[in-house]
Amino acid sequence: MALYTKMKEYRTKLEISQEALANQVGVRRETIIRLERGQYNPSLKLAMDISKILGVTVEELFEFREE
Amino acid sequence: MSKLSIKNKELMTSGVVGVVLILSGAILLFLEENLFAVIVDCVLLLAMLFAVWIQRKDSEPFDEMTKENSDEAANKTAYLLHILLVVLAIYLLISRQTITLNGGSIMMFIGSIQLIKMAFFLYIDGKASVEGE
Repeated sequence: MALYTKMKEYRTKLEISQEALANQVGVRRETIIRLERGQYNPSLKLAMDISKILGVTVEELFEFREE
Repeated sequence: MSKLSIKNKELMTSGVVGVVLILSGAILLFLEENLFAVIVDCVLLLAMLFAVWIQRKDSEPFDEMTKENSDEAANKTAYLLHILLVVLAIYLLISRQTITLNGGSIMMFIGSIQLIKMAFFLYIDGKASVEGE
């Protein structure tokens, strides 16, 4: 199972930088970079915090697919 | 003023503490009690105080991913340590030799472990910093 995310798509649509998003959810920019690359599985709290800021649901933002 | 990055903070805290422990151990093992040893001890004490001061400085958040990377580095260090101990135990059994641990060598040993863990952490954590927006 691999993690797919539309974080970058929604973030750029709202014109929020990685740094700004990281500051808003209280993580490092590197965490946002890895999340957008699908290389890191966030905790439920972090996923909910990000989806709240981007104005979408967690299901819309993150998806697990069979590789 | 910009926040201190996790990488720099780790270098200036764990790195400094590791080096101080190794040097303190070396002083205990190899240096006689003289004025030079006292001066080196004072410098090391100042370095330790610097590490404590840096620890209190404002830095990037030690978030959940950083915590995971730190845990992974600790696991890898423990794994490496177990392998080293097994190899050492086998060598000692075969060669029928004994080892003696004194204060200085224990300090050097702990300092080395600290530096190895820091190196693993910087390697694992650094993989995320390669790419930007």
